[in-house]
Amino acid sequence: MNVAGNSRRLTYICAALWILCSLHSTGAGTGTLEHAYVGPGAGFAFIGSFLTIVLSLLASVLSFLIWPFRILWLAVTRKGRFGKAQVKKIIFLGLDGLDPKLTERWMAEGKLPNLSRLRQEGIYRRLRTTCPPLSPVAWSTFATGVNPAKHNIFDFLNRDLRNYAPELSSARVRPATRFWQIGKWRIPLSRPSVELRRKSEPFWKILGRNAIGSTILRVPITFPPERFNGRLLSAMSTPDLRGTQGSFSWFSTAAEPGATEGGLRLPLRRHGAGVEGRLPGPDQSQLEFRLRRTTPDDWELDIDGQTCRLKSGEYTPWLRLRFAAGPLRKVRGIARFLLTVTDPEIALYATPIELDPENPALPISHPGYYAAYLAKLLGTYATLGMAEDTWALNEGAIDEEAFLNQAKSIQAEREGMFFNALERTRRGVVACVFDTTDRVQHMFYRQLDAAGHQAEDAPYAGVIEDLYRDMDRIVGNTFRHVDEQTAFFVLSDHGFCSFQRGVNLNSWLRDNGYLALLEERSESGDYFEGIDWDRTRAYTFGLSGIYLNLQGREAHGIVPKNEAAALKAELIAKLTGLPDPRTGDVSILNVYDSATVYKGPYLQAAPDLLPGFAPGYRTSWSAAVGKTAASVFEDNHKAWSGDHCVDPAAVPGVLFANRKLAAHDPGIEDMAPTVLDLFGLPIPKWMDGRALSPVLE
Amino acid sequence: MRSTVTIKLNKSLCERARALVEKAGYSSLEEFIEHAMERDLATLEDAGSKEELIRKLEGLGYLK
Repeated sequence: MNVAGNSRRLTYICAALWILCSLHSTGAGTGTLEHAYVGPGAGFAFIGSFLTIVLSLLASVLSFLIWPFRILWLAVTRKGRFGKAQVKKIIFLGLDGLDPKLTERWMAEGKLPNLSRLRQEGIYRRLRTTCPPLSPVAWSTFATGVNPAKHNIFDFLNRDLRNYAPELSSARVRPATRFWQIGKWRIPLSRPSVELRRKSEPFWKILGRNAIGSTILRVPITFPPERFNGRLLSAMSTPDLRGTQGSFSWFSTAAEPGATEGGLRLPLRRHGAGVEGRLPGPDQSQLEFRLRRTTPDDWELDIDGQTCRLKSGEYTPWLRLRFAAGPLRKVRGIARFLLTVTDPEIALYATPIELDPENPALPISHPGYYAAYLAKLLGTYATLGMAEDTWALNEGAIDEEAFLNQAKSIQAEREGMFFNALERTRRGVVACVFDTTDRVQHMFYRQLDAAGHQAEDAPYAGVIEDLYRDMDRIVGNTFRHVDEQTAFFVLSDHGFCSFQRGVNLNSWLRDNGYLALLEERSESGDYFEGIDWDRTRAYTFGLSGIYLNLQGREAHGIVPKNEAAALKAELIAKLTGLPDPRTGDVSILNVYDSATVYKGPYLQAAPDLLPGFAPGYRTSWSAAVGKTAASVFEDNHKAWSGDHCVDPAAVPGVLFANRKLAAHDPGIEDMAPTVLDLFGLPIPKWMDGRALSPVLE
Repeated sequence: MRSTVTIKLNKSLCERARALVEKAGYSSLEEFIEHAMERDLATLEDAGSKEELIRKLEGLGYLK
């Protein structure tokens, strides 16, 4: 069929119709000239509308004529697609970080009735997580059914072997490479490139090839979105408009400008009855705003041509903001504001400027319009990878109440998307991950005592229990969309424990002669500044591992390949059981050799050793950014008081299913093969997981 | 984003690769070829700005 030719013919017919109509409407055909001149703008508007109507009519007629054939085709192929399927629909409700110890306790106390019902009707198991038990690693394994050496995600961070620089492990954004320089402006002539670093193939692509559609909502490590037969909204790793992983702005009349962890401290200048400031956007752009008091309790914020009412302690709705990105070019973002202090000083918090889902500067959904569709249907929503602003709470820019309100609001947005997808899906997969469980536990675990019980006098003692009950409510509401032909899974990628003491393994490596500083340095800076690579045999950064400075791999590697195994064995022997000198407790339960626990083509990018910390311990804040510190052990005083970067055996996730499955020691790598098996599809040989098969009753 | 590029490869080389792709742990021949290209490109391209890479990590909750 010659589509281009047909399109041309259609255009000629429409143009002829338009000319006839124009002649008729202007009276030219009748010789009457009393009408005023109609300019070309009106003509273009008319032809635009006319074409739309004509094309819509043609599409409707065509659709009507071929519908019997479409129905017949679907009936024939559906039998093939679903012929061997055991289910019509699979629902994955992912609750990031839902801990089995707390879940089991509160189920036993009758506080989680819907999860208990799921256990009763189907199964409940502790779900083996990945090594290391980190969300980007575990959810990548969930999606692909393979171990990290086959999907290439080992940590939040990866290292550039050429210069030891850290980079986000999951996505790489490269700016436009061709520009047109006009004065101070640089107009990009090419688009930024965005590359997903997660390898292998997620189950939803395999389903898509077999004509089984999926809706994948906020499953981590899906930015940028891949093309497939289905819909997907990206999650973890999606940057903000400034290109960071989420940097807030903290304005105050009392603040000296400067950087704070995870954000910027910025001044508010008094101006008449109010204050004014500048919100930093991408590439040095700024938006001026004014804040003025209208009544003792009410304020108004003027920004980017819009006025928004504010009350102290209440978030504004998402505001759409446009930042200049060159002559005649704007980029769009969204942000929410919160007035935190009003007397005598004034303080204003602004969330990171997130990509506007209706007009994102980078791709965040597949198909591209899906993000906008959700926003139009349900309202604007957070798009940042890790949208709950944990650093703003750590740094005191917002308080606990404000953090919880933010997290709940994001959860409500996610619920809207999830239930919308469930209502629209009769066949296929709906998978949605809720992050609230992870973020709130990170920030409120300090409210639990060492045994994980709620401290009675703590001001936010019930927050985590309330959170689990709320997740149970979502499980209960999901039951409405579950029938006999639906497989319903609730799972978490890892559990949780407290984070009381940080271990700086760079300091330990230095103290034990494996890492050396340049002679003039007493400590290293961030990301190995001041490290003497010519005398360093091992180093650490990120949250998961120790790397050997290997000859032929690292740019300044000194460890010969034939000595690597012996060095690894030596480090494993010395670090396993490392005691905390203050308490005498063991801080490292196991040290895993990645060459033993992983198998796959991306092994070279993996850490060489994976320390399994004991609950209560974790890589220290300074070691995570590749730094040494005076001592190996340090207390963690941050609000970020819960964590899961420990030995994987200590923090399994949970797995609930609404059907009886033979699930002995299930692992998160078993989920993708299970999906394929339930839809009657063969399991690819490269997958490491196995299908959890149904138990015949 | 992916784009389709037509590259003519030696037939026997392609067959050898195809036979071993799954055994090596790749999900497709495309993935294998991409990985081979990435490894070689990393030795040819200049490393990016370390400061810019660090700036992009700002706000990641797990890291100070």
